[in-house]
Amino acid sequence: MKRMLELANVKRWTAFLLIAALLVLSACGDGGGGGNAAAGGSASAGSSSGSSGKNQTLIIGMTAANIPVPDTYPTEGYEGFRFVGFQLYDGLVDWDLTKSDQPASIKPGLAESWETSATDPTLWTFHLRKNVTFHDGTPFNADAVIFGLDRIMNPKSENYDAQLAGNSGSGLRYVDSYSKVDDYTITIKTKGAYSFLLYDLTNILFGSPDAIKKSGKDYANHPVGTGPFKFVSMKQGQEMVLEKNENYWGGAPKLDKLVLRPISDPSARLAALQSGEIDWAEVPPTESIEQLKSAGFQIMTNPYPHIWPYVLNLQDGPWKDVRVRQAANYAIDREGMSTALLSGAATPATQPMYKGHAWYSDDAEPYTYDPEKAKQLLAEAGYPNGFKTTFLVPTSGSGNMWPLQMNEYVQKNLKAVGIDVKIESIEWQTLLTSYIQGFPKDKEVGAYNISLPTISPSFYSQFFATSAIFPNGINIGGYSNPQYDDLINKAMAEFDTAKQSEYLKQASKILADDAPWIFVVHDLNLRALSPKVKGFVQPQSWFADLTTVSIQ
Amino acid sequence: MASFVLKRLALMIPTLLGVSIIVFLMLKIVPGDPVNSIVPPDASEAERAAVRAQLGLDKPMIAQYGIWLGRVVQGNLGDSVTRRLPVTEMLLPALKNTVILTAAAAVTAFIIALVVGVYSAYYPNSRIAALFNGLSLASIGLPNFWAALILIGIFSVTLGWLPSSGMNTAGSSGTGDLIKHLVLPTAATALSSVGIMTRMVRSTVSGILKQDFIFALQAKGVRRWTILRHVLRNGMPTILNVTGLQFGALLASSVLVETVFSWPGIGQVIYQAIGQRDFPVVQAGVLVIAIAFVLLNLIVDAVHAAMDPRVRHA
Amino acid sequence: MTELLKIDNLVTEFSIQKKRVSAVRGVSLQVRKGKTLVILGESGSGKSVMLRSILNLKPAGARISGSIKLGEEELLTKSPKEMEGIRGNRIAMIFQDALSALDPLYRVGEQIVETIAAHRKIGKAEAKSQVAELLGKVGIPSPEERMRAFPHEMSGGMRQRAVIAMALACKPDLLLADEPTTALDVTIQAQILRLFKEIQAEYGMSIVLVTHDIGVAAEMADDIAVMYAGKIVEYGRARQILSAPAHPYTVGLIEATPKRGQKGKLSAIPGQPPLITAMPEGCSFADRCPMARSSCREVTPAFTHYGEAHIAACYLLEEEQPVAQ
Repeated sequence: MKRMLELANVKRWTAFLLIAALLVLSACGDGGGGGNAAAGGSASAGSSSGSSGKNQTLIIGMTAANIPVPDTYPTEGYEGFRFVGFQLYDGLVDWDLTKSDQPASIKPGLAESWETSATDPTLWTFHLRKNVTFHDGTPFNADAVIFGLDRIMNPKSENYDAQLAGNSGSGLRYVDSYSKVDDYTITIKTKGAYSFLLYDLTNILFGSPDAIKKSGKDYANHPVGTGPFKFVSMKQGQEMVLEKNENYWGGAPKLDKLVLRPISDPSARLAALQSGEIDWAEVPPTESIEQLKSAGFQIMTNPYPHIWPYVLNLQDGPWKDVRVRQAANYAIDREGMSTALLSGAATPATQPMYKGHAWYSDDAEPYTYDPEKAKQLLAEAGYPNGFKTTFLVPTSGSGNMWPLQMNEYVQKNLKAVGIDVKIESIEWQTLLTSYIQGFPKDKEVGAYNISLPTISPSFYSQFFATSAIFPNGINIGGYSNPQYDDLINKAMAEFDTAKQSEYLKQASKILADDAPWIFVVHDLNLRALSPKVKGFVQPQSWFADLTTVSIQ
Repeated sequence: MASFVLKRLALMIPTLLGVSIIVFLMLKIVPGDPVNSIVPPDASEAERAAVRAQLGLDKPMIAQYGIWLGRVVQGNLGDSVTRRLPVTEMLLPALKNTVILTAAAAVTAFIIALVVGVYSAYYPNSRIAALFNGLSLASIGLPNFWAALILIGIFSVTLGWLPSSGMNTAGSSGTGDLIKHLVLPTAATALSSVGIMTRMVRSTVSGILKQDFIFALQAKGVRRWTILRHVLRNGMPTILNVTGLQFGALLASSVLVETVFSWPGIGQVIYQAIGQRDFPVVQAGVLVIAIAFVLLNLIVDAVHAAMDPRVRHA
Repeated sequence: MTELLKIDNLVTEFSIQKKRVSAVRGVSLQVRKGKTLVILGESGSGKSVMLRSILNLKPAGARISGSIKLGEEELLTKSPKEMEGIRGNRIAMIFQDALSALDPLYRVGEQIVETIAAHRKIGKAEAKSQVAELLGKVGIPSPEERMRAFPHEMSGGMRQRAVIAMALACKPDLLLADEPTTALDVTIQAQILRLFKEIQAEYGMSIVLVTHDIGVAAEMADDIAVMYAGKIVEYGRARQILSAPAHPYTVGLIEATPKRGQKGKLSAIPGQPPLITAMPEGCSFADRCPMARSSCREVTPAFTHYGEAHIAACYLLEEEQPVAQ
């Protein structure tokens, strides 16, 4: 005897309606009332879009997966500096981010002026800005600077923070000593004449000594700087709220409030922008550019010191030959990649710097897309039938844009001239680890693909100088050119900016000619802003000035 | 009952030790140096070595494990390598958020699965049951990630009813706001489990409906709802058991869902920490999840024992 | 009017793979007030289905037709709600396996209280004391304590007593018992059968008892209906059928039963009853019948009166017209 369900007699629809009702009820129990949820939804849209110009709150969707730790050397790389570091703090020198038509230059920050001694080029004197106070009211003066430097440079100081020192270390490697002269003057002595010091100092930010001493280990939860915005609150993984510093020495921001939200998934960031949850999205997916434009969003692009190259292995194999390296550079269809693949979110790179930058060399012949020339060069170098090589490339990672598709594009280009590239994709952190250990000894690797900032002129010395050849530095390809070394040494010792740029320009030309890298593209720093965000100037920089921004 | 729980608690210790060793070793084998996440790429080897020493990464592996375990036992999970914060400060709020999401998803999945599963078991040949069956099959096949994006597309971007990311509207907080933010991630997380759990409830309930005592109940003339109560009471140990196991799946899918919805949960934290080789965070995170799992299993077993006198007296 | 229950041409059909098959194929029976009707048959003869049809309990897709009258009331036209009020109240049922008939997760007392609560408006305390009284009546020692036991904590005999107590809870007019002693050992069996008689004497209820055991039938029956392949083949007073079985099937059943003290081989009826999905033409017993002839396989035999209140369906009887007047 099988089951005998009297229930079969029940009118099914009655039962179904009942269950449907239960479902609705359960959904309400979960959603706190269906009607409420719907009503709340429109209310939220109202609060973020219907602000009628009064609510000066800017909400930014960052690419980072978490809130940058707001210590004086923030985490989350340059994005951390962009939205937290340079908003909360200042350095002795700051970036001038007010112009979009020229690369960001260095301007006075907490130091009003500086000079090097006429007799001793290693001795720098910084005259500090007066009447500046930290957000907690602590006055900014020479003691605050010494305190900040002790914190990252003086292991004997009780305020020394080894990990922070590790973060900041490379920026201070040329600093020999520092001392207070008077309340508003300090001196820094460098190891040898070193004109790039100012660039290094942009990353050295100053927090309130009182606050640091008071909070101790907990300081990152209560950061206090001198910057245009003050810290209000922070929820791990969720948001950081900053408010305007009315007394900012550089002029108070127009915004009342700045909210930073980490949204690491690009499509999620896009959705948040489209639904009005954020006003500003860093690096939306490139394929969304047209759609966003037609919906009235402001698409911001501008070149900035960034490059997406292949760092070639010059020690052995085919890449030793400059003609092979040039051939590869001629083989790449940079325009096609920039426009077709990346929807205009990048621009061709034919030397380390982009056209318009002070260190860009107009004399260098730009690499065009010329497969025939590439084949000819390869033939001259003794590879008429091409060769096989392996590239190590990242799967993702900051500044790498769309690495797999871009690498496949390059692979296709190189294949067309006979260079058969095997792509090995490696997770970003693993790739970085591998990179700083040089090219693998156990297998033939032709190049690393790695995205790099070219903000500071020390870029030239660290990646290409003979003295920086691995393991002494990170010139892992082993590029060496005495003429180049000479130019860099001159630039390093030249304190006149124009003359220094001239040396670097010439260095750029040598790099373009010698092609130790395959130059591919410069990222254009894509971001999308809601139509109501006004007054933002997209600078030629990794960073952003938010003091001019307002909401309409 | 108390001894049952105590015995199970004691059994947790070797399990967790094992987990800790595996996690510790796994991270040592994974290529990538946490120091890279701290120092700029152009730092010298000496600078790297100094940071490494500062983090204790220069010591032998066993010493590192011992030091770590010793601290963990005292409740000190160490500091995040990259974020310079105590690990507990990062993990506990994230854990809370994940628990909120996972619990909401579990409750939602549980209720839907119960209603739909019971209905389908009672009326296996009805058209509605067939529809539910198709939907549950589809939901099992649909990746949460996709579901999440589709939900965002419909409810956030097109209709603008619900927020697509985060736990709170920027700058505000409050339960109503939280619940609004919870709806889509919950739906996306619950989705695949709903399908599996519905099928499981259906088969459990239809198995119970075939049992003689259900017929006996009908023969007693008790009301339908009384019979349903008996059915649910008998199905509940199995259903709760499977729900407990589904928690694992829910937790796993919440990691992906957390990324899509920028939900600040433990999955996000661990995912990011793995990328940055932030060993203390990963170790502690996995350990916390392991503890949560073991505790959950314990609770499920205890509830099962409490609900079924045959188990309780055995 | 001495009949409590009158079943007329009862047909119970199922859907098996979209085909309609009948498990009960036109059964007509009466149950006398205060008497016991034993339905005798092998497993698969449709006797359990018939019993359940009386309660109008059927799986989805099944259909019951004909007529079942409890007193003057037609049960088959009653609404589900009305039937709920009759089940457990005016007609109660007892099962072969008391363990599986009880919900393992509820205390025995609760399950009996539940039955009372379904049909009587009554306070919890009063229901509990009634349950204790009932349990005492069916011979369960220290009933107050046993009420709190779970089914698995009781012995088989005690469980069956508890199920009987549950069936008695609302003092039903009719008790349906489906092989109530089959799962029990012989001494317990005898006790339970005695209990049936006692409660019948006390409550004056009618009993329909389904069994395959001639011994049980002999012990309990006032009337006997022999069922084969969904039909009644012989029906009448127990004494007459047991002493002078008319239908070859009944004869076979009785011969297959061990007599008291008898040892050695039993002459079991060879073969198997037909499947309900493949019912033969004519007499469904013909294939196993030692006396079957060709005409048996053509037309189903009708009932022949074989003495007073004793009918049987067999051509053999039609021809012989043995003792009949």
